[in-house]
Amino acid sequence: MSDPIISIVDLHKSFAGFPVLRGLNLNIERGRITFIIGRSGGGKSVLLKHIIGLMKPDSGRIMLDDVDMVRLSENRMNRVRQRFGMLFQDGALFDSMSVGDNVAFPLKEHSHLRKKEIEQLVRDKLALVGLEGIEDLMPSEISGGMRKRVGLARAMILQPEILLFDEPTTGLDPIMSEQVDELIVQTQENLGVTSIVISHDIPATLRIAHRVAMIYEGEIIIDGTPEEVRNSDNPVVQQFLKGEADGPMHLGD
Amino acid sequence: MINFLETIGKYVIRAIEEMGQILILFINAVIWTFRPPWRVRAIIKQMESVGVDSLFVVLLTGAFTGGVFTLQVYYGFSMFGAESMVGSTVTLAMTRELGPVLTALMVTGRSGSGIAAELGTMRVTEQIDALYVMAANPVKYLVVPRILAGIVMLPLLTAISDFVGVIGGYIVGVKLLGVNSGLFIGKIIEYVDLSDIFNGLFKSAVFGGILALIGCYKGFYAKGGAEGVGRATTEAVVLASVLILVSDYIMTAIMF
Repeated sequence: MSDPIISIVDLHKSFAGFPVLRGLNLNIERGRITFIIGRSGGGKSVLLKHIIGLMKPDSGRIMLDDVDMVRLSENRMNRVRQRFGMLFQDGALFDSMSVGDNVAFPLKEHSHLRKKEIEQLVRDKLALVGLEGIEDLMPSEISGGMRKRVGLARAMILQPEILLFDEPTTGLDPIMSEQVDELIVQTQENLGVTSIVISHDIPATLRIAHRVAMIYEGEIIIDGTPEEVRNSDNPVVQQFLKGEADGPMHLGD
Repeated sequence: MINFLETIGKYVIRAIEEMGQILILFINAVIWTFRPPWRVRAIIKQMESVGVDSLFVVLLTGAFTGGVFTLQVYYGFSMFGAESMVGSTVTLAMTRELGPVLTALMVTGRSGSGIAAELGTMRVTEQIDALYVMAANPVKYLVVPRILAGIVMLPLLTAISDFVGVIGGYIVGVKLLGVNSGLFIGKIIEYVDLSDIFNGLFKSAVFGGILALIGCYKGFYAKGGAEGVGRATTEAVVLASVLILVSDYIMTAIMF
């Protein structure tokens, strides 16, 4: 693999004695879109939370440009986090703030822009996700799909190098899903952003990913281009891609 | 037998763990309190929610507590002709004990539970994670303003509660039971020291810190969806109330 921005080495994590990640290894290529697929509860979200430092592993390393993020102090980690943006599953908007204040939040925290400039940037980012003129609404007043798009605008406002998406299209209608997928592709093409996407949408995964990695029983069992994954002779991968209930995959636990 | 010991051991370990977590949260909150920039607007907003919005219930509690206490004390004191002492007794009880404790318990039920529910919801909807991801420390954003609001507002509410409690006592004692007005007020001035009032207010500041800290702690570590938030809320009220009563005993034993 050419130029990884993030290298995950031998990552282990257990919850209450139950191992979720069992020595996971994965390289994330710089400036590309990597999709992570796998069963629900199989550790995809846990992996994402490790990458951004919300969880600490039991053992293993997460190298970001030769810096091991696992061992960073909270202060240095906070500086590193400004290189990331993250879209949470349900948007995770602050419901005590208006939509506009939500999107402006990272700017007010980490920049010294004036009020006018912040307002302009917020308007631009909301327009980018197809939501104009809703700055004054509260998160409780807009639909789930809109919340997700506002979350995306908030994740992108500091122009991060790396964007993490936790199921960006789950719960959206097909047209909206298509638009969000398109947005992921555009941000990568226009800004060279590295994207890591967790998804259950297999057709979209195979269509827009540069690389696809699949987690199974706490390890990456395949990591390659969509073509390689589609043509894999691993029966577990094939069963998952086809969505079949019968096959070699352990469905228990 | 082993099983029995194991069960007890598990509870003890859990309790010690919990105390440790509360202490760590508290220490973090203290550290972040002194780190700029200060969130003045957030603090004022919390003061409104903990203080101003609790005013009505505190007024009612104070007035009726003072009233009923007078009723009971009058019954006892009249048996040996000490009706003149009713005013000072009620005032001492209100300022030293009933004002601070009952106010704190009422605010725990109102705001302590509210804090736990709000932070718990933020936890289960990943809003607290989102704060971390945006490199904005949630302890500074959410916990510090609430604890400061508790520490500042509880003494103010208690002062009001003390005052309306004495007024309630006066109405019951003088207007309904016929104690001499001059004696009622005169004995208050004679027997109640400023330190009685201030010690009570000091205790209430501690109670305010406790109820906000416990509400934040239970909310912060809530998990398991709506059910988990409900559980966190209940646990916050129970734990804060118990801690308030225990710390009240300890402080009273030391101060008075």
